[in-house]
Amino acid sequence: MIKKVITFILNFLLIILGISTFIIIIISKTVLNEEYLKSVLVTNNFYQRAYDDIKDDFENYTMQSGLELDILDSLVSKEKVTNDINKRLDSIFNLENFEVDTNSIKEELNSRINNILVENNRVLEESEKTSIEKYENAIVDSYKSGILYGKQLHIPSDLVSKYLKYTVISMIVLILLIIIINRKIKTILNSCGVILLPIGIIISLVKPLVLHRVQNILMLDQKFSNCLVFVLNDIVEKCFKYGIVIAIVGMLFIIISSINFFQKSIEHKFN
Amino acid sequence: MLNKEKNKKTSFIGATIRSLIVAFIYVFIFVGIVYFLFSSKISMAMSIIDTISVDTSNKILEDVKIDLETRNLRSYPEYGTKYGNISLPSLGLSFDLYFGDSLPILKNGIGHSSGSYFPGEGGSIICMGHNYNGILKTLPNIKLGDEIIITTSYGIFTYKVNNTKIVYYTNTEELPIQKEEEILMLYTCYPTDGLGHAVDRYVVYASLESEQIIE
Repeated sequence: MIKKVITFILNFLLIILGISTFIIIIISKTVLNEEYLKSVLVTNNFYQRAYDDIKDDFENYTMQSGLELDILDSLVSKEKVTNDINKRLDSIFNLENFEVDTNSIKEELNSRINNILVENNRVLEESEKTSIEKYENAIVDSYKSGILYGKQLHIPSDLVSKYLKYTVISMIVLILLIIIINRKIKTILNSCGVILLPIGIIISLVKPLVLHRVQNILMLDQKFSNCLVFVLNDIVEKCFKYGIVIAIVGMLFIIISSINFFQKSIEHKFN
Repeated sequence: MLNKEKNKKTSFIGATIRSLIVAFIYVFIFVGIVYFLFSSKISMAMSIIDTISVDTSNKILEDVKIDLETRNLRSYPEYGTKYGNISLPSLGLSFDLYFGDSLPILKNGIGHSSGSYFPGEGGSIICMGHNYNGILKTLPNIKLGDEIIITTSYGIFTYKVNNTKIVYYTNTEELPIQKEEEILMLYTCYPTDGLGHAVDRYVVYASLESEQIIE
């Protein structure tokens, strides 16, 4: 009886650890994986939309400035936007601070404005020089905010591996304890089944509970939200898919242990 | 032999069902513990998700109506949506009128400050547009007595210009919000032929001359 109670508790602890391990693995393969995040940006056309948004912001400031919109032609390329976004992403995982290079933008813009002034024989008053400076700063600041999305963020890369190590070691210890306590193959197989089946069920429950709620999230801006919703959908689908697989494997272990059990049971009854 | 087969099946089914029951007991215990320990945090997380979720379906604005007794709109347009048209016949200008004053809105037409009243509500209406070519670059050419007409789904409102001012962009007291008199204040950056970031605003003040409510 005591053995059964202890096995019951150990099984439950293994279920908790199993679910934790699964969550850690899923997060490490998605949200905390730089290559995965870059692929999400590509899939959701984030780079193009960031480029379009930056151009829109530039046009908005220019429309208030008295300058024509053609001053912005090829001021910033999509390649520069893509590279800067990727560098920003790298800095999150490399734990480095990233400064967006805007000197080239400001210098080019300043040069173009000076050319316009020369072409139109226009001499600026002091107040206009200040206004031009403010306009250039507004352009540069809008580029920075289009790339940086706020403060510097860093994610230590060893964070996940540390937690994963703890959970896996704990699981191994608990499995060994179950084996030592029970020693019978059918009980161990049965334990595997009654551990895996609940893990699978609980993980696959994430989809029906969460999926409908996350479809219309709007955070920061639409393109960021699209990527966020994409990642959440992907995680939820993975949980559902792997949850079903784990549950089926658990069922198989239960069936195998039951076969093992009834064979012994029949031999016991008829011998 | 038959008994043997029967016992075989019964034992197998019994063992499987017992294991399944145990497995589901684990599921219920786990869910129960999570609910007991984290229900408030889960509720908070769900409400945060609901807060940052928006219905992105397009809404049609024909149902915006004004209550003639209270002089308030019965429903308000969503921020960023077009709710009418504003025209300055003397300058040959006509633009879509949007609720909101963010930069993306002003790129499309004239914005309506979300802190001011709507046409017909009897208070201050503050609208603004860029001083760009094709928008309000020629606003300083408007004269006293000229009309500004705002057309919405709930009425047509005609205003007559009675004052213009050049104000510093932080002097918000020159654009007072009040509900004693319906005054339209339309402004743009000034000078309209200046370069760079303008700090002055050219403001046109117009009083309500006539209204035609659409029931």
